[in-house]
Amino acid sequence: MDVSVELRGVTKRFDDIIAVNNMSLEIARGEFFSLLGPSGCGKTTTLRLVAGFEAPTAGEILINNQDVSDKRPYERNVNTVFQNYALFPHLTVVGNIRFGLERKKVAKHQMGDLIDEALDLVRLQGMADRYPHQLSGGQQQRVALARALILRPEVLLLDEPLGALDLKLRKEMQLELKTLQEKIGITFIYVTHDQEEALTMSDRIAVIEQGVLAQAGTPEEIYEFPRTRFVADFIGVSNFFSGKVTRQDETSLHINTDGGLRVILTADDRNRENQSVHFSIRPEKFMVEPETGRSDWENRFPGFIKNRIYLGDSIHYVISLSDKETITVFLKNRSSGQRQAIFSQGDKVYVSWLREDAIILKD
Amino acid sequence: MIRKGFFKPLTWFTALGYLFLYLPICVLIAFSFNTSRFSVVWKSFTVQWYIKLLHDPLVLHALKNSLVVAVVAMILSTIIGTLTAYGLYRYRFRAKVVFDGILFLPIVTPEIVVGISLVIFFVLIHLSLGLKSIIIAHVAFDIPFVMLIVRARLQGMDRSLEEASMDLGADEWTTFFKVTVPQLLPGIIAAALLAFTLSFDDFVITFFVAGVGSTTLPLKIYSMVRLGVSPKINALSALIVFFSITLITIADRVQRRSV
Repeated sequence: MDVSVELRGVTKRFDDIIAVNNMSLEIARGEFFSLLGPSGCGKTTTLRLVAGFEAPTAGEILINNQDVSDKRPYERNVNTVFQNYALFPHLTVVGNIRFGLERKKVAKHQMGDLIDEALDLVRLQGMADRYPHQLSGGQQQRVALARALILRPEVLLLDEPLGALDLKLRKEMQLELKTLQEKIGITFIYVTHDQEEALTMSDRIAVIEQGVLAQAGTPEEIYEFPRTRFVADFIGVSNFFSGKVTRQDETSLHINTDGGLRVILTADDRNRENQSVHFSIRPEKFMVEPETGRSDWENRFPGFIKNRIYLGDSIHYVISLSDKETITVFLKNRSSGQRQAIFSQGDKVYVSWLREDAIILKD
Repeated sequence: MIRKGFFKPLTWFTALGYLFLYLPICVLIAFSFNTSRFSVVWKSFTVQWYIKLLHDPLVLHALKNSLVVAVVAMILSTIIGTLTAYGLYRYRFRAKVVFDGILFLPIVTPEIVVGISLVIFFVLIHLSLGLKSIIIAHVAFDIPFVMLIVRARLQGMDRSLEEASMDLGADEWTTFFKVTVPQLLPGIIAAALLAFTLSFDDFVITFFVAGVGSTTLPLKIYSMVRLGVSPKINALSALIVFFSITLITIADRVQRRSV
């Protein structure tokens, strides 16, 4: 892997608070990499460490294979798009975009072309002489992008850049940013607390929990194979089960859940006999049949519909499987040709799932 | 908005308060146009006192002193005050709370105490009293006011602007001059104008630290009053009032316009 940014055991401590704890990451050149987590999890601090606004308490930060841990922000080949854009209010759009070029001592005759190109890239032609306060949020956002991208950084850091925009504009900008990134091929490190945004845009995602890297992987890996309860819970919706392994053979784990369900899952390489185990199942992975159903899936349990939310394109059911286990199930609204039964509150049903759809979590 | 009951007398009190504040000044200005030598009896309109004032070499000399002192004190106190305020804003250290607290001590200390302490200080360091000592004294009492205004501006400044500047390749110095100062400029201008006005109008402290030949305008008025109040003094006072109000108004506008 052609590594663009690497964190080696980076820790950042503010007085008594450990904002980032022993974080190690490798980000490939040209990758759209997201740092995802709830507010206060240390994702912004991680970004600020890469930018050079904070110095790590321990560990090393490498950009383009060079240790930059003790370099000032202006000595690093990275640029940042700030959450509030941080446009210079006393400078025009062009003044803002030119700021970095002037610091780099780019020749005057080259500046004009570069600026035109940058304005073109973010579709801001004709706005050149406006001041930031005369622009809409989306336009300010674009100026911030142009200002950073014109310097052709090794890495572009984006700190929740779409947070201040309304939903519709945000969706548009998500696509635009992704397209832009693919076009220019610069590594993006993108901080967000919005899991949907991260899934939409990223090549890879790092989920951060209380300063610790919980899991890094492609959106699919993160969604389909969350390693911890936190990741399973933070990304999408999950149903959690706990139980005890009563028997383990080469291929199967036989589990007695806390609610008394006898479940069979795929065995992993660990010996779990007689140990407690936690697993999760995504709400769309269940099959629900009426009481009269005749399927023969191995994990099949009777239950009743506690609640139903009709969303048009899908229906969400809350189904009680035992007095301790209540699950959420999403069923798609399908073509009439493959119509499935629609249930009402109180209906008795059978719920089943395949063993490979259950994910065993690290405790 | 004004209805009845409690609010009606309240408007009278407000009017009375303003009257109390501004009537004496209005009377002073009115009598500066009075022909009579004696201030309290109105005779007819004239501008002769203003003309006489402009031909009085002693008054002009005092005016020159006042302007020199005010301009130099303004420049020095604005630079020192701005940098000090920025230092307190930028760096976190243990005694910061103490420094923030004692900053305003000079503002509430009676001027007469400041005056006496400064004169003792100048004698101790063998500095002869004159324009130089006045300027030093004025810089000293201007600084807290400058800091107060610049600090307010700093607190309203978006900190990420400085980070953005460094992110785009500017070192600390360039960032200060290209980003921070432009952001603070309205505050700095307002602070400078206030410092100028305070310095130009000051009497008590100047009275203590002035020497022979360094009479400023307020000191000159005081010495003229001792020989009896003439319309010439009214005229001079009116000019000072007008000048000060103009500067303060500009300072206020500058500060307000760019919030």
